[in-house]
Amino acid sequence: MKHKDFLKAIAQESALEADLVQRMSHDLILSMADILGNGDSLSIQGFGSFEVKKKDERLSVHPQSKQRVMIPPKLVAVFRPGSNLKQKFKDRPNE
Amino acid sequence: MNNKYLLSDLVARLQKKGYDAKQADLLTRAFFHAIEQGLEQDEVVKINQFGQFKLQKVDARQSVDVNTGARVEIKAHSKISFTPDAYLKDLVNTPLAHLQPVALDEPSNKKLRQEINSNLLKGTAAPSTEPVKKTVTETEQAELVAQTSVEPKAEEPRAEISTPVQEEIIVEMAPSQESADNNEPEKPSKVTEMKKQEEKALFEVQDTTESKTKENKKKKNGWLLILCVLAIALIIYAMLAKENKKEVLSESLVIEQTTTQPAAEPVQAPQAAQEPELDPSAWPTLKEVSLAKGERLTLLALENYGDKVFWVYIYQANKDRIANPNDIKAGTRIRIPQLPVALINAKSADAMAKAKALEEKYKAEFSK
Repeated sequence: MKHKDFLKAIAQESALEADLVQRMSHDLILSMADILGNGDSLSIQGFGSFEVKKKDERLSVHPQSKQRVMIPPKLVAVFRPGSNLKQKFKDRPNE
Repeated sequence: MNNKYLLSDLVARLQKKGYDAKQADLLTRAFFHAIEQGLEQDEVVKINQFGQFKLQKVDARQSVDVNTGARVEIKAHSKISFTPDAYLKDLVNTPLAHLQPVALDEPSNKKLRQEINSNLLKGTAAPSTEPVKKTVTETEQAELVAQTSVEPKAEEPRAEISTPVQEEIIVEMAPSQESADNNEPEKPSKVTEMKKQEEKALFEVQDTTESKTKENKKKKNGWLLILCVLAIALIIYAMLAKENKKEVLSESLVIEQTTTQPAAEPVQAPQAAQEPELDPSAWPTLKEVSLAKGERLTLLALENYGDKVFWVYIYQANKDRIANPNDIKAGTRIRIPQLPVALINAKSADAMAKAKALEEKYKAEFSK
């Protein structure tokens, strides 16, 4: 589902105008990103939580050239689905 | 850092930006519902500037019930994954954005690689793989023996210059020395194997530094041993030189065969010429006694011959086992020779004189 379709779905769900939905969604996304950018976590009941985790530096080897590279540490955003969501898709059969 | 925000906080933020509270709330809830719906319908939901939610299929697998231990099948299912968008990625990583990947240079690599190779070889060299190098010359063998033997052993009676005994000692020492000997021949064949291991080893920088210090220690120890050996050799040579002047027989206290043999032979010859009648090897063995702690040759002489002074003959008969008659290791087996009556006649002044003369000689020799 692309972004456009996603917004349409929101509009349908919330019964709000498409234009408003677009503007508000944009701001919502920005504020979520802002929270994560500060290193804080965001928890939505029934959906899941977003966290920021640190990845340690590691040594990596290029398989062909055998060149050794030290990859620096970094921070990544991580999503952990809530139990409702997990259950829903767990029972869902695989196609 | 690490504040936990809720949906309500998101709504509050929207409000701050000027939106109606109810609408903000509605939208926010709809937002997450729509993600759920989208996953249901399309299995993928892509949100610009945020990221992508995706359903990933997981195959069924066998597992074990933790309590009962019975086999359990975990059914095939889907799990939800989220991959952040580039915008979000960079934003989240801003505190560490200045860090860049560092390529490790070649020159330093080579040095590390060599060290790791040699260390891995030393650590993984199997003693049984290759036989002991028998091309090692006698002098090298002798050095090996000297290297591995500690000072206390040097004092022990060591008149065994005979090669079979030396080989025995070398064989004993072989297992400990083998890894060092086999380093060179094994290296070319094992290099390819080692390369893989070396890559793993490089990951642990600690190991390389440790192995460096270990290598240095080993080198240092090697030099110390060589110095000790040389020192001992010098001392013995000096002793021999002194002994030569006094023309006293001495077959013992020699580590290096090459210096011993030429020195021993000339010493033996004059000795034999002096006392043709006293040929210790011609005496048949009366019996053999194991010298207990605290026992002395004088006591043995007293027991067997009737006078202490005749210990000299016992000493002569056991010259190959006794380095210093004043200091014999407990448990040494002593041959008590059957001496001709003429020699051990306690009443004969001549016999006594001879014995005493020998006694004086030996005392002078060993009381340094």
